[in-house]
Formats: sequence, C-alpha cells, structure tokens
Amino acid sequence: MNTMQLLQLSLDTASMRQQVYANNIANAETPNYKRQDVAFETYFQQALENAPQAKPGEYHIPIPALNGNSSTIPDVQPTIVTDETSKVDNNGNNVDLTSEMTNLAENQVRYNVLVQDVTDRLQRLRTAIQGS
Amino acid sequence: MGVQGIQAVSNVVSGQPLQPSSTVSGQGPSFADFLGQALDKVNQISQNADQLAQSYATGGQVTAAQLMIAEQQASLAVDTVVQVNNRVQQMYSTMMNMQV
Repeated sequence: MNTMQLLQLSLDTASMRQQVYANNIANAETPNYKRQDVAFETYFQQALENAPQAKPGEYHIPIPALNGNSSTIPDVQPTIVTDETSKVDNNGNNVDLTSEMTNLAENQVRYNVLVQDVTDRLQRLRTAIQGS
Repeated sequence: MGVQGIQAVSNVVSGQPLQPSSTVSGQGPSFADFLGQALDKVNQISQNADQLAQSYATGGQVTAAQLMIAEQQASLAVDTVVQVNNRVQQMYSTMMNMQV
C-alpha cells in the first residue's frame, strides 16, 4: 500500500465515521441503542507498536515502523465497532450528545486536512508532469 | 539611519573583484555534483512529507500544521526543480541560437 492509497483509505474512514456519528446522534433517544464507532488508527498503532515476540533460538523480527517506505504500511481496514462499555442511561442508551458532537467536529477537521493533503500531492505530481 | 550611496558591486561581494572563470576551474564541487546533491535533498524533503502523511493517516503524533508545512516544503522543492529544468533548457536553446 503506498501513501496515496493510505490517504484514500483514511478519507474513506473519515467519511464512514461521519455517517456512524450522525447515526449515533439520530439514535440518541432510541431505547437500548448502543453507540458505534469506527476503529482504524488504533489498529495501525497496535500493529506498529506490538513487536512480534521472538521464539527461543530466533532473532527479533524488526518492528515495521513507518519510515516513508510504502512497503512497511500494514494492511488495515476500517471496521465499525459497537461501544458496550460506556455508561448506560435508564433506557439502555449510552449516547452522549455532547461527546458525539465533539467527535463529529474533530472528524470534519481531520477530513479537511486529508483532502488538503491529497490536493497538494496531486498538484505536485501535476507540476512534475507538466513542468510549469 | 541615513541613506548611503550605491556601492560598487565588488564591495558587495565579499570585497573582492569577480574572478574570471579560468582561475576557479578545477577546484570545488562541479556543477553536476552540486545538482545531484540538490536533487538528493529534494528527494529527502519529499520522503519526509511522505513519512509525515503516513504518520498522520495512521493516527501518529503528527499535527495538521506539521503535515501541511512538510507538504508545502515538498511542493516548493519540486517547483524549484521544474524551474531549474526550464532555465537550463532555455539557456541551451539561447546558446544554440547564438550567432558566432
């Protein structure tokens, strides 16, 4: 997976997150509804931080840290997870409206940054191709 | 601060008059070396932007400002390379069309 594909995947994730958070807000009063979230970056951080354990008689496998090389990016897909752990109201609903609004705003900023980044990269490629 | 008169060019450039090119040939890096180093630097800046973009996309400790600055630096580096390329081609065609 190269950098551009990773950025596209991140954009897809942000888009998915927008829908999931909007769905949470829409179901803020639905009895027994449990809020959902999209897990993506946490998978990456786990994949990057957990060094593979060396078996007896084996060398340590190097941690695939991100170094600008595209081959070291682990293959991770965004998945929707249901939050069962947080505090539940009387009607069995665990959506906190303020928290969802904050998540929504944060996700929008992230989406805009990613769009700007992709735009810059494509513009750079265009400059290199057209030479002007 | 008073306005001073225009100084001679030789005083501006480290106080020494400009040397003809024959006296400096054969010392220091060649233009090809210099250009190669500059291109390596551009590649390095571009890889730095790649690294920051990957780190941001995977939820690393990179702020949006850091990412944007790195991307703009990389874009400027590529723009500079394109401009150098244009000027070198322009110089070549100018010299080829020169009447001798």
